[in-house]
Amino acid sequence: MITPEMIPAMQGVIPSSIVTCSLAGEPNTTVISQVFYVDEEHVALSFQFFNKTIRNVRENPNAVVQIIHPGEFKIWNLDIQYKHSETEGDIFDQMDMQLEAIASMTGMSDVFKLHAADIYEVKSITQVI
Amino acid sequence: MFTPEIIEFFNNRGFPATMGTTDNNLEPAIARPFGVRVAGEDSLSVIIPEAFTTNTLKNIQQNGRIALTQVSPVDHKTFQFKGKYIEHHASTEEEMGFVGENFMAFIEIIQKFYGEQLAEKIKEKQITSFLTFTFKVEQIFNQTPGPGAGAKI
Repeated sequence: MITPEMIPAMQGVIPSSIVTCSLAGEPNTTVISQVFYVDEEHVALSFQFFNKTIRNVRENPNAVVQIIHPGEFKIWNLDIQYKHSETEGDIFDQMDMQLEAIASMTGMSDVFKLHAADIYEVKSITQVI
Repeated sequence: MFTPEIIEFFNNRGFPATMGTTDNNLEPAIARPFGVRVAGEDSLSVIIPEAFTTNTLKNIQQNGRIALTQVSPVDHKTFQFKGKYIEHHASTEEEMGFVGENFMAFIEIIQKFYGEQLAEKIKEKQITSFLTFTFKVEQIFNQTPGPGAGAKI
């Protein structure tokens, strides 16, 4: 489902956005620094702070994330579903390294810290433009 | 409702924003506004390309709750506004003028942070039809990364 064309949009060059929703039906939107490609049907998002996004996906796993290609400005919406979190292993280590690079580029080294790699299944993808 | 800091924040042009809604099945939708501004003492108007609004239109009929986040790419200052849908309409000529002004400021930001090539790609995108959504803001949150993120204002 995730095609090679979309991979550059997942390298953190242009920040992505995510919308989640509580069980009570209250949407929440935030900017995220990383949408990490796991395989054609999964992505991982960085769990850096225990915030509303993290709380929401643990009570309602449905979310949508928007990624932007930094060369073409193509925009895709990924409908995703939270599956589980990983606090060690290859995905966690790679995300941690990538997050450090993003933090360094954006002057956020003191702020960004990876607590977990949250793994999501990609249910569908829509190209916006 | 809006502090002087927030009114000043909205006086800036070209800052990226994201609007979130959800349907009755708790499936959220995302839309990228091309302009956000203060519409009244406790409301915001959000101008979105009509082509981006299919799920948003469905969701506001079912649920009506809206979340909007706007970010300053300059200093990472970020606010989230949550509230309830009031109305929407086809954007007026005056609102389209605001979108044009905002778009040019956005292009300048892209040029500064990402270079001329991406700015040219964005200018190639032809979007002519917009909808303006108004919602009543009930809660405002600081979402600037760092200590204090998530605090209600």
